[in-house]
Amino acid sequence: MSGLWRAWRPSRHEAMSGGHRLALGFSGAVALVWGAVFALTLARAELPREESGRVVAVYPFGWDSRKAAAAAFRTEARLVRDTWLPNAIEVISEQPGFAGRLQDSGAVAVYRAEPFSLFTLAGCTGLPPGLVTRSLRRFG
Amino acid sequence: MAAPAAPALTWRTPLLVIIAGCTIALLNFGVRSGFGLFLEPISAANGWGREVFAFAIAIQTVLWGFGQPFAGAMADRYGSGRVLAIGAILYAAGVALTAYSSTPLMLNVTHGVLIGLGLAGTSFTVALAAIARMVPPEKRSWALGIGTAAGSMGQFLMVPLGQAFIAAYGWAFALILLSLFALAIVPLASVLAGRAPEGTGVQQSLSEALREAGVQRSYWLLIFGFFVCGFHVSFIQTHLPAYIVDRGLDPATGAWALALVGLANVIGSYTAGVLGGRHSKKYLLSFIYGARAAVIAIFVMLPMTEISVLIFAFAMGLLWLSTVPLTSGLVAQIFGPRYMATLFGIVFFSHQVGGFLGVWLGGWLFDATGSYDMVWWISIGLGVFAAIVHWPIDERPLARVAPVPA
Repeated sequence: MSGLWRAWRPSRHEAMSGGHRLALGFSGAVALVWGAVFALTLARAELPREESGRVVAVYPFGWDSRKAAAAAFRTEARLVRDTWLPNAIEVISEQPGFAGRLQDSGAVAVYRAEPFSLFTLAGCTGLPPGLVTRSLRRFG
Repeated sequence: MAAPAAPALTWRTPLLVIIAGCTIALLNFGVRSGFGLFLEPISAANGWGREVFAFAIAIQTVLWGFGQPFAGAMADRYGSGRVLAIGAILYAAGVALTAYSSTPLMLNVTHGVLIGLGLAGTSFTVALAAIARMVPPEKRSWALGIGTAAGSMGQFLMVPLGQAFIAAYGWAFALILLSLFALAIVPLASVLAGRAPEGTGVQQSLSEALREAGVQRSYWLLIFGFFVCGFHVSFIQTHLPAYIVDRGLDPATGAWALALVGLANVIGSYTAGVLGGRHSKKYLLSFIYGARAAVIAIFVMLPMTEISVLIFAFAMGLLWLSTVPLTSGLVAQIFGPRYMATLFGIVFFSHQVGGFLGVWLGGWLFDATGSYDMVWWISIGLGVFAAIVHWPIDERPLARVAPVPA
């Protein structure tokens, strides 16, 4: 912090490089806090082994969608849909212990699948597509 | 240049002001950007159709847009700190009480009215104006750039966090957690407390400031230009995934494209602020809008692949909210920081009107013609229009604002 404050001094060049350091420091601090909260939340969100239903199974980083699907289908999983992460897949089964079997198939984490559509994310104005246009309702 | 910034205010150093302002922008934009995540669970839990939640969001949007000039005027009159704090309390109350809204009317009041007013009170216009008036003029553009970048970062980071909250704690408690983020604006607002300095030139009232701006051609050109910004970003953010899917690509590509827009937006906003401190802001704005037109034209005319989508997303991201530090900086530069919150609030309202039209017209023309092609070409035309209208802006400070020679 004292380094940032020293960088606030007048010389134009020094002041601007100090400004960049402040921007970098702020971004780093935000990323650290965000990362910590996100990691804790994800850990809390993991399903216990006995759970079943519609879930997202996350396989190790670097796995492609085909390898992830093949692993999931070694259980009784039925495909719901791919996700936008190649190593994660949304699958369903009502048999107890489904989450545990997915973990045994290689999944590093299993989460409850949340009803979410990319097309419901609001734009800069916060307008939900469903209200103003039929063109997006076709995506459900 | 412009009227002098506030003198050093005891413990409210420029460094602290910038950090607090950036955090407020991050929280304001971030919390709101995740509301779409709650559409499905709230609708399902209450047995409502999507239109109930959508109508509450519509109320929120209208109040947010209309409220900004008024919030700005109150900030200019009573101080930014008070307006930000009251706005944050309304914002937090609205988010938290949404979890307990069991009827459409309650949802309209909490998610619509309370959050809409809260968003207006804690908006960019109030936070950026507070930053602008408390930092020296030579650092103002950079400070507005970092403030805008922080808001962009909030949009980028809070959507996945909101999704994780829902997965970990359920949607109702996730709303309570998000309301705490909004409430965190209250203590931060105290750092931005105080009104703008009167400056060294002719003093004026708010109504005089509005009359003065109203007869300035440059002010109207800024309003027209920022309308285009709203049109572009809202149309693309809302309809790009659908456009990509229509062209046969995977929805995941649309998701990655939006994420890339968000990431590049942080870089673009900050860079624009830095460049605005060194170069003519109006020419930079002309360049940005011209570049948007060119990027969209190339995207629409070339065959679409995953790579072309991602390149388009990154390029548009760099040009996304990079207009904000330059436009707000021009308002402060021409008219001085005294009534910046009001004057930029009006300009921002134009942005929101453009945003509404971008979303609505995109859908309406798709429904009418079966494709987004016409809207893309309208976007290109508007980009060229905005590039042209920024060129003749007289960015010299008004005589009232210009420093008195020693």
